[in-house]
Amino acid sequence: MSMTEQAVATPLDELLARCRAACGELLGEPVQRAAISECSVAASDLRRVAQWLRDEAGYNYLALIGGIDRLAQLEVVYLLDRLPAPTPTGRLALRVAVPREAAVVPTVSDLWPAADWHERECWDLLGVRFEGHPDLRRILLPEYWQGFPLRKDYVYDSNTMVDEILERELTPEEDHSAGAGDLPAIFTEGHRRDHDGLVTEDIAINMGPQHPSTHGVLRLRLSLDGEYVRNVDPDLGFLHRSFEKLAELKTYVNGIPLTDRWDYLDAMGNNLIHCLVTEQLMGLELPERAHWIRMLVLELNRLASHLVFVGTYGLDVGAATPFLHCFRDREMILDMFELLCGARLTYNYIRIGGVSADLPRNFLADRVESFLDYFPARLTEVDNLLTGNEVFRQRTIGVGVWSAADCIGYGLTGPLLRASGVRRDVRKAYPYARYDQLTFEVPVGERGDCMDRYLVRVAEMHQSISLLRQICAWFREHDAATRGDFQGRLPKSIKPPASETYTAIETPRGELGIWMVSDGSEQPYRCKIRRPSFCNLSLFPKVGSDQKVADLIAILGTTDIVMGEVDG
Amino acid sequence: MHGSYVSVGVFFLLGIAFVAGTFAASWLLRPHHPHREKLATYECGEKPRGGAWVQFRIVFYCLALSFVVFDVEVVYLIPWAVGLREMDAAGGGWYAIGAMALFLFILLLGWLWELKRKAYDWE
Amino acid sequence: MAKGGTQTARAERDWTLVVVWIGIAAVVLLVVGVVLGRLSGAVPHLQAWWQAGPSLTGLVEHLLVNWVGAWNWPASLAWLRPHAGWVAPVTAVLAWVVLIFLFMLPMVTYQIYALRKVVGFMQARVGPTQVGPWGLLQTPADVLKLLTKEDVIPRHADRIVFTIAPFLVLVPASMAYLVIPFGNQQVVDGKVVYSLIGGDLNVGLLYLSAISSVAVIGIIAAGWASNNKYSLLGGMRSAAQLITYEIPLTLAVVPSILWVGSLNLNTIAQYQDHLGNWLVWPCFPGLILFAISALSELGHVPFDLPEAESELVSGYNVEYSGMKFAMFFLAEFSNAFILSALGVTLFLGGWQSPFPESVPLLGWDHGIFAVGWFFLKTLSCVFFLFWLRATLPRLRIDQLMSLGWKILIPVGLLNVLLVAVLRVVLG
Repeated sequence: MSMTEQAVATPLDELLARCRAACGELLGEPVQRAAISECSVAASDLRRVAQWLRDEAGYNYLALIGGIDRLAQLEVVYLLDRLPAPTPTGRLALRVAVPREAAVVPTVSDLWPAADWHERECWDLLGVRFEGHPDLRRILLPEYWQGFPLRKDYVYDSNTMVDEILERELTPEEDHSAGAGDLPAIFTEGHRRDHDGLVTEDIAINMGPQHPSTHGVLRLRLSLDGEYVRNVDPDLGFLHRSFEKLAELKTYVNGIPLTDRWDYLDAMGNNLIHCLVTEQLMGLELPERAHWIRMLVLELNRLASHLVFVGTYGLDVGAATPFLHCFRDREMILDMFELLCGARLTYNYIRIGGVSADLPRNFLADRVESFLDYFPARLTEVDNLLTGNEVFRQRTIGVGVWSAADCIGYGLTGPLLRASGVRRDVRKAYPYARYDQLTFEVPVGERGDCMDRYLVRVAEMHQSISLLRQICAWFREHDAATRGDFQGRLPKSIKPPASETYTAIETPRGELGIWMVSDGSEQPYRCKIRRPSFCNLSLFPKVGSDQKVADLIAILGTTDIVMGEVDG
Repeated sequence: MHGSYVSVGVFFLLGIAFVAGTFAASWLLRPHHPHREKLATYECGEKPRGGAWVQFRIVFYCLALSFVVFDVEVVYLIPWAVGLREMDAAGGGWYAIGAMALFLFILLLGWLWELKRKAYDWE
Repeated sequence: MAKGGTQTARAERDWTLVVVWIGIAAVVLLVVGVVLGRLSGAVPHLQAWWQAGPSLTGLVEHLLVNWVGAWNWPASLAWLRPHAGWVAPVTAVLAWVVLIFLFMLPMVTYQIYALRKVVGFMQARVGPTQVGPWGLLQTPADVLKLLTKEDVIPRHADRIVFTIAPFLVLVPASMAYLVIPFGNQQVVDGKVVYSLIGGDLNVGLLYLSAISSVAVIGIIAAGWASNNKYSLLGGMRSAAQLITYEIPLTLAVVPSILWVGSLNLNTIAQYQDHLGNWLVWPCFPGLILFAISALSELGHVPFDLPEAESELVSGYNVEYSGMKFAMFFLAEFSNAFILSALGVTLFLGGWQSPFPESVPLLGWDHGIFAVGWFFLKTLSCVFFLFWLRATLPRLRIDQLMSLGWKILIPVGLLNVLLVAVLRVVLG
């Protein structure tokens, strides 16, 4: 709905008035949606408005850049926010419409470094050219790919696509002894170095996709100067399954199982965000019990996910034992999920309107509460094994220090952002479910180094334990009265009215959000996912350069990426 | 004692024979199906670019020089250590220690100088 | 459930059968041996050998020289007739066979098994359980697998150096067993009755430290020859460790040398005849230095940088497969045993019991008792290594080098002087 003239001046009005005073009549008609304010702007004016919003209005954080194919034209949405606390206006979306044939938008990657990868993704999937972008390559799809899959007129032809790479014989030039070949320029410039008359050569080395410490199929192209990594170029897309495209082909309900596969360590969160955004589009009200069940499984899943982090981080710095201890305890959480929904990894448990099944009888007393009695001591034990160890401290304290400004600029969220001292948690900033009724702290770090990123996650686990205790307390009071009331009433077919919205939640990796566009049909028209791992990794080329190989691994480990989410 | 040194030679030759013998046994037993891809250099599943035999930067080459100095010095220590008891029995114990202390002191000066020049710091 | 039950029952029956067959074979061999001995006339020589003291040298002397050498050799074959000059080399060959096939290979095999079990229990899992009872045949099965596994030499590798590297690593590892005093040496009237040391070199310690640094060359060679960047990094790290920890390692053993005044490992072990005389007391900093540098020399956690799995995948041996890989693996565990044995000999009394000889049973340290004490101590050290492996993360290369150069070397030098002063003061 548009703003009415007689209304009291809202924060959005004020903001627009200030913007008009500073930049002129650049912004179009404002739209106030449930959670977001929105304005349209012409492509030619984008940079001016963006700069003003960043410098004068405090929008220091670019949450996502999403492209939408409207058939007549392409739209690019920039979602802005302020960290650590939102502005009075809340999230602000800028919408730029460009013609399909000449889809060119000026880059904002110099204003928000986070835009670098978002713009590359938008170019890769929708064919929007960002003018002035320093390195506009495809990011998820291979270089030889033809066409832009998220355009509505895209036709996929498997014959031409796959054969080209799979059936091609290696040419002798490509094989081993060849020179720099098609490596990006950073791997060939300054290839030879002169150390006081001693000339050495850098070597270009692939780390991943088949590497124990890249946490999946991440490929890092490194140029090594001895033990030093001089340049890092992540090569993504080995696990790209085109969720955003698939979501457009499936109904809202059928889309939920897909979400399990993004961040497979936190599938509950993925389920939730898909349902949450759909519920918001439909304006659904949920039974109280559903909210509390959701929070219960979310916090359990957060524990399980952070346990994987603590364990694998030990492995990354060379300690194998914490990994197995963490997995032993994680099994108990997975067992609980198995009781709830029959699955241990891909749950499909949270559904639109509620959850798929009620808690089994005595689930809380027998499982959750006994786990909460058992687990804190175990966590402390594993934590002491790492943080009490001088070698671990040497390897993490002061290593990979990230400034708060870098973290915000690159759009980092979650524990990574908090470790650098920015106290921001979506559960506090934009509460969902019933998080506003729970009390918890948002732990932050001081130094922003690897140790802080580790400690923040451990502190979050202790917070999750406290949250789970509070949730159990709620159930002790309300379990009998609400039993069976875990699913709201839904229409026969789920067709949200034509509109669009953005919602985000706090997953173990950060702000996971969806910009969902509905055209009133059973399938989403566009489902743009803000994948926190993807955004978190975008800082890595910067912080990974000029590190020792061992530190590179230690730093990558704290990033705690899940490749299913990075590659989408 | 002469016999003992014969056994060094015997152990050396038999050691080689043992490894060679296992390799030979393995050669008789194992399959041999070379393939272009199988014989490719491992680099995390990607095609390597450029070989590893380049003028690679070895940050610690200065330390390698200082290693030679210290290693020779340690060799000097050993006969002194073996002989110390005898020298002491002959009444020259303090003299021996003094001589070695002087030697080590000069060495320690060199060590301090290198420490100050940051030769032991990584880069 | 029923199916699993029958499988278990059958497996048990199989193992019983194996034991029965081994028993039958042993009895048959014994009978055949006795009959052959009687027929050939070797028995008096064997009896003479047993009475003189059951040493390997004596066996060669009596059986080969006195008995076989006394046969009627045709003139054309006279140059083959065994004589006294044969005793030393043939004894060495026998010693090698005993040390390698009765000590090294079974030790290494079950060290690997023990590592997997011990670290398994520390990590809340069970380790191997499937091959043989309690998984006891897991490592032999792994060795057989590696023996029959295809040997892949990368196309771009230096084939010759690639093949020589495993020799450089394993041959020194097997040679080291020569001077380890597994037990005492019984000497009566200047004649050796029996000896539980392969070769009693009077520069045993020097020999051992020389031998043990050759293996690092093999690792560097393996890293370079693979023409793989990960291997190269691993090899270079190994070189860095060599130049950093070789000196502290030698400095760590010098105090023990000067305290006893000998480079002979058996003499050093003999000196420490009860707990009060163990060299760990005067040379305690030496033990710490030795432990740290030995860990580095071994490339063991927390100094496992050359094969840092999370960084270099497998480091210097990433391109090795089959038996060549097995050699690196074998040498790694063998060296762990050797350096533990060396540490025990230099600081913890070697094969000596901690109690004085006068204490019955516990104080006995000759023959089988000496070997028992030796293995008890050495395997405790090996267990300590396993424990470290389950506990510690990995150091970074610059931290490792600054620890070595800035701390261990000066501490080692001062320790040498201090112990020397102590020695002279105590007389």
